[in-house]
Amino acid sequence: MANFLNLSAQGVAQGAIYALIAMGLVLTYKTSGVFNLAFSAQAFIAGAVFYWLNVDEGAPLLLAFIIAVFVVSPLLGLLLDRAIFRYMRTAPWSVKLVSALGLMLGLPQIILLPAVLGPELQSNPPNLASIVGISQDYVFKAGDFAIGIERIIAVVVSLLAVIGLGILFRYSSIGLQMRAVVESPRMVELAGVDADRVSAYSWMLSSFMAGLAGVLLAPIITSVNPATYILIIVPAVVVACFGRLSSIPLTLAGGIAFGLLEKLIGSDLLTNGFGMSSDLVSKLQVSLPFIVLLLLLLFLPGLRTRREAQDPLSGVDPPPPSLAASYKDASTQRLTKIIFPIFVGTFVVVSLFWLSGIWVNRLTAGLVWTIIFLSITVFTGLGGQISLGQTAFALTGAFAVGQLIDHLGMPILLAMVIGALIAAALGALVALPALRLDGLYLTLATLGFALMMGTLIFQDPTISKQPTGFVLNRPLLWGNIDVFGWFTIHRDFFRTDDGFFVLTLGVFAIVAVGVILVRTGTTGRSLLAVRGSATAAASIGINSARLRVVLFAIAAAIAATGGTMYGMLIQNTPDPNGTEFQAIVGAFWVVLVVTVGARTVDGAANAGLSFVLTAWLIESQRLPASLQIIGFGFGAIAYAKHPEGVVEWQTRRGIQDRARNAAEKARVAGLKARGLIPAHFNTRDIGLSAAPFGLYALYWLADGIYNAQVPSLKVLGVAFLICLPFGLGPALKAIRGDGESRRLSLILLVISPISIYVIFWLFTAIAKGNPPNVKWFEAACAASAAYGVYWFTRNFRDMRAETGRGLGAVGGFLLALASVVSATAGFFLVKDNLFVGLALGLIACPIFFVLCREIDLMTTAVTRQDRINRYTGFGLTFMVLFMIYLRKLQFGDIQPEVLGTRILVFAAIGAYMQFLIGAQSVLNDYWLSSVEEARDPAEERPGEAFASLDASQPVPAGAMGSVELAGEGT
Amino acid sequence: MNQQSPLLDANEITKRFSGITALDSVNLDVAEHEIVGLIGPNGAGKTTFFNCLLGMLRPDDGEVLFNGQDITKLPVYKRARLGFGRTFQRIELFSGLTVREHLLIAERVRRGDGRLWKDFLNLAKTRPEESAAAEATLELLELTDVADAPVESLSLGKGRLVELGRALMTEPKLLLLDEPSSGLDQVETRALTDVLRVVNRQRGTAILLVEHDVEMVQSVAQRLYVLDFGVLIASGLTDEVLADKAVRAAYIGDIAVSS
Ligand SMILES: Nc1ncnc2c1ncn2[C@@H]1O[C@H](COP(=O)(O)OP(=O)(O)OP(=O)(O)O)[C@@H](O)[C@H]1O
Ligand SMILES: [Mg+2]
Repeated sequence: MANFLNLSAQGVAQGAIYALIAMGLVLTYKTSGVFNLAFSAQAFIAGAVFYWLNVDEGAPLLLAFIIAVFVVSPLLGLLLDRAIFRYMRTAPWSVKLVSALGLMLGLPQIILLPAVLGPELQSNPPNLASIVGISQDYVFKAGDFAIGIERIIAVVVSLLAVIGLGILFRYSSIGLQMRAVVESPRMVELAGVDADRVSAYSWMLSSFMAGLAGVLLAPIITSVNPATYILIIVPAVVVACFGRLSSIPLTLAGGIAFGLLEKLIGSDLLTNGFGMSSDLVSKLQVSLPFIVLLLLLLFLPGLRTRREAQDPLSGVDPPPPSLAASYKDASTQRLTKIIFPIFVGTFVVVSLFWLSGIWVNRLTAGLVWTIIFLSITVFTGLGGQISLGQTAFALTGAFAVGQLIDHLGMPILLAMVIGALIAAALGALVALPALRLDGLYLTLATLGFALMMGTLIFQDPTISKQPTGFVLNRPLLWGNIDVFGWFTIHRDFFRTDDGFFVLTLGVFAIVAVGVILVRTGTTGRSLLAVRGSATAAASIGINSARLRVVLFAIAAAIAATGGTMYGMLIQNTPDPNGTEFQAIVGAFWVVLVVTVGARTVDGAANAGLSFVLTAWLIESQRLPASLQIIGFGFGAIAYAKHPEGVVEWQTRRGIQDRARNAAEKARVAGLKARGLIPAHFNTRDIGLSAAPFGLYALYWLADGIYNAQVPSLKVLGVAFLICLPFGLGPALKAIRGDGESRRLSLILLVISPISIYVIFWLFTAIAKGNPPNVKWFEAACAASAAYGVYWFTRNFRDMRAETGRGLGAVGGFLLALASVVSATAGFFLVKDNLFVGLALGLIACPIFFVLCREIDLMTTAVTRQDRINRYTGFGLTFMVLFMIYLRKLQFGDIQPEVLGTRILVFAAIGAYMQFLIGAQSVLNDYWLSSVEEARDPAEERPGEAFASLDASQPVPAGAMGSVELAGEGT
Repeated sequence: MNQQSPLLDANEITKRFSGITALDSVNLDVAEHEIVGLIGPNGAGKTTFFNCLLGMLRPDDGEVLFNGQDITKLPVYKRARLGFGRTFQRIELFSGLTVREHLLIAERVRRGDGRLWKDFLNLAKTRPEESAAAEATLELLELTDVADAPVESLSLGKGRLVELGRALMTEPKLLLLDEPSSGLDQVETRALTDVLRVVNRQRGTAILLVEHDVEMVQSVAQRLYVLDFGVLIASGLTDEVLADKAVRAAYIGDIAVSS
């Protein structure tokens, strides 16, 4: 009995925290429509900050508590709302969910970076008892009943927080508004509540709750790390669902009930009372949240049919734009047909005959991941649903194959096919109960499913042969094969690196062709129809239930095939508890694939290869491995702007650029014909003026890196002479434009060679171990920064005024960039302090964003915005890579001749060149506009000329759906 | 009503939404090749009735017979395959697809040819006869020039035509049209009326038409049902029903108010 009481008390303590988190979830879900799975990250950050302050830095407990919970957490919430989620209010659920998932993965890793906080997180931090003068280890006892102070605190503080919340909701006006939103979104629409304000406050409040939960949990849970916190969020989701995502009292009750249930299942009630084996009970206990989540989702009727809190504007989800391929004109199509086989052929030949074994292996791994990711291409890209459960299907496939080989001695390739079929059957089986779930709820169910499989099924040695797993040997051929006497393929060909690469390529080709056929076939089109309108699809006789089952089955089969291939790659079944195939990794897969591109096979291929290659690049630079998760996690935010994925977006833009260039030529020709600009004018002049520098710089840099030598100034002088005629021309011609354009031309002319020179001079100087004269450099930085700021402030005011001032904006932007880059570099060199550098970088970033937003707003023409996006992106990339490079060289972490470093440097140069070209192109546009305007005011505005060009393109469907997208879509 | 059993026979359909009775024992039948009108003021329950017929809603009481077969328990897609086609009052198109794709999907579903293995063997390409059928419908509805435009770029009126075209591609025996003329101007409405006549005459499709535009209903419907607050208040030949006093009070009065 005492045991029972003790467990109950622990359960209540745990449950109160669940309730706290659940309420935070509900709060943001209702006020901004984001089911914020990143909540675990927020809780973790508070916990980690608390730990860091108190344990690592020795701050007093109370201070650490206040900073972590009352300062850091609300600020984080505010930041998330202002920087990210505010702009997503009208976005479809999937966008919000993927962004939240990305943050869930990426945010905690930032805190863990040594350069940020890097807490050691060895043990659990102390609990809050000593704040009120009670001993850390105090245990309250009454007879046999005993409960530790940390749990008492958890209960008391959570309940206080919940009561405080109740009071806030009841008596403050913002609280009332929030409650109104939570309990009846429709009421709020009528009452005209300021949605921005409610959203900001509720994010701060919910983040505060996350922080509180995070700090309360820290002393209780097994270890303070992101994964533990992610697992805590699942019970909270259960509790939130139990409260039907709206009722506060039900949520509290549900939290406590669930906490109790969880502890009591672990008591001897089941083992003694029902005679279950203790092994089963402990497994049940671990997987309880997932089982309850599944049950709730499937059987709680109020939940399924609940209308989601929606902005009236979001009624029409902007459909994704058409596939980039549909924008190709006949000549581009022909070109693709020729280039694609050449590309694939080259890829294969180079891989087989030129690359070293380790690189063949890396590419093979990339292809294996591609196969796995194709299951997401089908499920999300085609079916429009999000599954976090693909890990479970991949593992099912691999284990089934292991079983088939062990028990039936089946050849592995046959076993792989049958394993895929078994997984497909499992997928169909899972789809059946989930038929009535949609969107977010289906996603949660798949998460529950994956976690349940992970804790309950895959731990069972009879199924997965844990901890060793099954050995998966690569297939053998039936004998040596003689190819026309030229060469012999040996029996164990597939067991070599090259052979397995070929095998993987073959499997990939089969799966990829299958995916494409399904997409273009009846199934794919029907899926698109159901996605467009389920009601209408049913009204023409489409059986959406069957389609859903097929969708699950295909995706499961593909994942299983990929899982088996992965097994063959490592010659063992994947470890269900390892970092690669843990249940929660499914979220990372989705984030990765969806961000890169979920609609096409190249999207998956890019995701697969970049997954492997970025990991390698990061490792080669001895950077923290978590950078990959951070990068892709935050990349998920890009999904909001480009739901079709980065690859598709870039491809489409590339195709459209061709058309655009043609149009610009026509425009210039028209102006020339009318005598408005000199006949010898060439719009690429400015770009060309930079090109020799670029080429020279490339050569020089490569040389410098190989020989660690500073190139002579003479060469630079020659380059200058070559560039002069190109650059001088437009500068002189620009006099015909207004004063701003002339000034800007000159600035570009001067700045591009000089900044290139300064930067590369720095590179080699450092590479040679010969740091430049610091005083001189500081002076240069200061001057450049001052001038940048001067430009910036001067033009910032005017920028809003009229479009014509855009020139000033671009100039200011360029200078700000140049000064920030050189100033950052300067600090790196001078102060030898990463923190200062990072801080500068952080200051620089908002400046970029503000500037770009302003330019975005100002320039309504689609093309201009596009270019500006481009050169901002490249400029930023450049800066980041450059910073990494400098820092690495400076601290001697890497050698300049390492391949990864060279790639990094070339990427930086490429980004910089792109940046210049982009800037120049915008400049051209403005300049041509000013010519047209000055000479022929009656003429139609050039911006419109571009807009009408874009209108003549096939309009991507997305552009019609929302204004947001209209600027991006084309 | 030359046939012994009508094409559609809805008996005693009752539907309640928490509190209100949207449909109260409604009886309605449509014979083959017939055009029947269903009118009534806003909120009378017309759309709800359509939803009950096609299975988007389950009636609380009553049964629906189609060709003599009881279909009350069938899911929506099966009813559609039996020969129902419908358009929606709040337009429901497949966002992201073009007009032609709408028609082709409907055609493919009608042929019941959507086996997965055919996709894998690349047998799922659009066949000439499918394109021809789509082309014919495009011409009938004068949608040829927007055939390859995504539906988002269409006007509401064109959107309604796409819905009609999509329904026609399934070669329905009975077409349920929910206010097809709303959003159309007079010329377009007349064109639509002509299309309905052509469809009815050439393909023998029966039509059940919900419409606020009494003139339009009058010009095509042989028979008329009038619904008011979920209760059937009149039925019979069009002109006779329209002359009825109760109908004028309930319905025509409503028009005066609403317009
Ligand atoms: N899903 C629903 N839940 C609750 N009430 C509903 C629902 N659908 C319809 N109703 C109610 O049923 C009644 C009939 O609605 P219905 O849409 O069928 O009318 P209608 O005749 O089509 O009207 P209109 O001419 O405006 O289209 C209305 O009072 C409506 O509010
Ligand atoms: Mg209606």
